Amino acid sequence: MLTLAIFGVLLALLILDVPIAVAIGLTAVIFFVGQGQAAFLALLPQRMYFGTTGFTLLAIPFFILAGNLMNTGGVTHRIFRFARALVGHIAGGLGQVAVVSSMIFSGMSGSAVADAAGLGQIQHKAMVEAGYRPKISAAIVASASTIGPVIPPSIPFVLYGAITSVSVARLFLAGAIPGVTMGIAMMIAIAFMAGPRGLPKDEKANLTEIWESFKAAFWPLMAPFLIIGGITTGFFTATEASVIASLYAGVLGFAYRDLKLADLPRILFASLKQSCGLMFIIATANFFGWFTIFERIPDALIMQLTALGTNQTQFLWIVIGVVLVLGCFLEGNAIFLITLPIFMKICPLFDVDMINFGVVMTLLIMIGNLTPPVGMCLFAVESFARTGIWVLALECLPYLVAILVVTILCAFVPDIALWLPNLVMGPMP
Amino acid sequence: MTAVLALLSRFDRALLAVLEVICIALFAAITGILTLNIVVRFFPVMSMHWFDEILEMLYGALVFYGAAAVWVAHEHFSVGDWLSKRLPGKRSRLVYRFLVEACSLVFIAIFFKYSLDLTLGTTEMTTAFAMPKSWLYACMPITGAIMVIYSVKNMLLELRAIVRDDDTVPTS
Repeated sequence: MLTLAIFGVLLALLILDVPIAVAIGLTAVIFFVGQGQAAFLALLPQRMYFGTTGFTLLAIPFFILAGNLMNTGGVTHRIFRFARALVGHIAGGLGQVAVVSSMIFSGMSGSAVADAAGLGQIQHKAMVEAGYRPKISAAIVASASTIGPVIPPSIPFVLYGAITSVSVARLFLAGAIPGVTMGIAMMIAIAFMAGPRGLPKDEKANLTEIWESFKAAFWPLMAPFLIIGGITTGFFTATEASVIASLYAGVLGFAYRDLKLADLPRILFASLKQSCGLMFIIATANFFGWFTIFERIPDALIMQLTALGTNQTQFLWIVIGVVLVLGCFLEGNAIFLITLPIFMKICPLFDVDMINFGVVMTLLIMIGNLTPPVGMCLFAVESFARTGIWVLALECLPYLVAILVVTILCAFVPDIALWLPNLVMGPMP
Repeated sequence: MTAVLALLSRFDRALLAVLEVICIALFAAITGILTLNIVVRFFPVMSMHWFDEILEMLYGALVFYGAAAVWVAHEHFSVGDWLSKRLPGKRSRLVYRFLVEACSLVFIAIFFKYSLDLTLGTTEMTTAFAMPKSWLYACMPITGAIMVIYSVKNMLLELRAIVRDDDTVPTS
């Protein structure tokens, strides 16, 4: 009952448009005061401070900056041109190009919203110019952008690692195959839609065109190898890799003469505001997470689940259901911060692998990015496509089904995600 | 009143510019230290025993000063105002926005009060530099105060709009 009341108040505050950070923190405050435990509020600043200063979380502003620098620095144009030469001729034409370019861009950026707002604009413009209806183009762009945080590097993986204390490097590797599978599933969906939607396609590019576009995109294409290679070989940690990624993006921008020194303060401050807005939510969520543990909410849920004779499969279906519903109303990182302190206590009880669980949770919050009324990728694409949120969400349905199929596959076949990290880093001790 | 609003607007821009400089300087320092740490791992010319402590201090300050900038600019993440558009009458929409601001003010005021108590009351010292931990925590009451002031300002503007029955008054 208490659990329902807590989440009811939280959801009500969020729906009332109270800032997410305030809604999360205020819920804990309300219940502490309401239960005559106001003395515990003295722990609020300490919990908030230590919730944000973890070394792993330092990666977040750097990965956001890397994405913003690449969007400004002409890297996105080169990647798009290369993907167009590669797959522009297959059924679904530029739709396929959008997915492939998002998959390549994902290897450098860790945020779906950054992908949608940056690369997404280029993809949308090219598709509309080629005769795609804006709502169809916008739906493909929004859906393709959700690949970003699944293919490493990934901000949700960093956050998940920081909350659950599992290896971020292992999570990065675990996201690779599901991310590529997600891209392939979306390409299949686009190929199916190409006929009924009348999607035009390009002439097949010749080898010279492919080679030229490859040469132009060579250095951006090397970024994932630098980042993931550096982490897996032990040259640097995931946090340090984020610094390397943003420095690399900056160097490329200057080398291509698309980035000017005068632009840097604006890009930096915009990235920092984006990061600090998120980090402030993480800060208050740390207090909220501690409050849920203090109130023994995970224990109560475990007792409830065991009393009902729940098994692993049923538990995973419950998680999928809960996160999909929350995804309609909450931003993805907030879902992590609210639910993970509870789920991480329950997972071991049902023998759920925490690495695979991280991949499944990330896939689920990516679906949440496409479901209204609150879908961050829908908002990002709507800001330039102007098709209307509900029209866009409806048009995303086929791609959403494709992502959901991949999510369910990953949830019940953990080897899809775990094969690569186990191969590279050895099985989990 | 128009002159006061214009003055406030100028003050907002000046404060945002100061917060921008602070955030960029902190971020540059973090970047420098993290890069140095990678270099020193391969060329161990100096000890980096102070690494964790200084990073914690810089990142803590960055998060809270950055959050204050987001607060001043009224750009904090929220689900979106799709409810007030459905409320009947201009005044009810204004009252609704006033109440949302009030929620923010209550939480930030509590954060400010307890962070100030923590900063003034702590006697702990840091390990590497042996400096008072209150220096680490100082960013919280400072930014908390900024956020409280801006919440009060936003509430006053909302109140003014309610009195005038005018929902075009900007709050940032």
